[in-house]
Amino acid sequence: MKLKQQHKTILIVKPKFSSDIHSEENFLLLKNSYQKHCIDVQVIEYDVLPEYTKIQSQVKNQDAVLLIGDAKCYPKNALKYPFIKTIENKKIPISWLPFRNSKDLLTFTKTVYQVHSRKQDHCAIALLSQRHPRFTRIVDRMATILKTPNVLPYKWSSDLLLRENMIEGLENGLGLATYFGHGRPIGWVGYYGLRSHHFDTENAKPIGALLSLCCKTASRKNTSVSFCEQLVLDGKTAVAFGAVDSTLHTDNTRWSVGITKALLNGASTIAELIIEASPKNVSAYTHYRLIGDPLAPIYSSNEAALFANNVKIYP
Amino acid sequence: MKNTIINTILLHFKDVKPKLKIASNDAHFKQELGVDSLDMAEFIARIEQEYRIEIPDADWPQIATVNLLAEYIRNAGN
Repeated sequence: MKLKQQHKTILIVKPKFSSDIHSEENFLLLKNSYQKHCIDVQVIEYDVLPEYTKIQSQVKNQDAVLLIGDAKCYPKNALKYPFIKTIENKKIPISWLPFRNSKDLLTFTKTVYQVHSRKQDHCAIALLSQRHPRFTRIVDRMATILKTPNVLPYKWSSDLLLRENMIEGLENGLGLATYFGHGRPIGWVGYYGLRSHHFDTENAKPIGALLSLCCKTASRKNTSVSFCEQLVLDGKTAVAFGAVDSTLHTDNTRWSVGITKALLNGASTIAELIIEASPKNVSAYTHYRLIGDPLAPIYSSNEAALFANNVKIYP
Repeated sequence: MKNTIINTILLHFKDVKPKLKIASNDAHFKQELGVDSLDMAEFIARIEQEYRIEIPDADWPQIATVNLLAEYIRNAGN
């Protein structure tokens, strides 16, 4: 199922980089990068990080909001939810990008450009999980339900393959991956303890979206930058979805059911996926945050899907 | 109305536990049908998606049979 680029609008809320010429230049590159891919960009500049309600009042017909802010601010405090409600009660995805320096902004811009430029040939999803029946059962079920002519599910739970093989599969530019298991602010418990520095494939292509459906991988507890933020800042994924606190297994199961349904209904960007998959329970979404590009496409190219198909697993 | 809800519940139940036969709509999910908490989590999530309702985890003991769940959904819709 090949997809054509649709016209979208993003609202970027950013700080004034008045004394930092490089950051301003790199921001213009980011803006151009979106515009080249049929995405209109609206920009709001601020002196002090705006509160949720202030952003809410500015959101009207945009498809997504990206809030760029000082990395000293935690994702938990920068945003309340992974989406923002308009006055008409419409949910719009909102993401956070921690700003440390102009170099990070350039890396993010390159990732956005790469992910939006590649062909969107297949809805391919890597189903990752820790080696535990509670979590492998979820990916088993997702793989069974998603195995249709329109979706290519790859079951890569920790009991089936090595961390290195899994990373190689992801770093070949796969559009979407979801992880179920235990999580920590510095990474996943699965795959013998996965950390951001394990993503080190040479000439790696960024993942479209990585959904880390577990506890705390967007939390800053005892770490300068969370696992989800680090992956985005390193250009390993265009967008990451992670929790700033502990989550419940029942809530993550709700997400798995929602994601499965949304993919079968044709969700093709992280924005569409999150909005359609979001459970109604406040507890299920209140701890999650989007980090990175809120409009990242989640489909994969033919080459990435072919490579994923050949990833070595040990049944 | 209730019959339609029951049929939908049974359809989702069949998806989650294809081999399980429900002899009575009053059979207890856990004690009589052997549905474990993981099956229950998926089953409830599917029902929530279907009816766009919220079933808090604390309410799960109240919806231990197909009939009780159907009644719960009907009330949630009102």
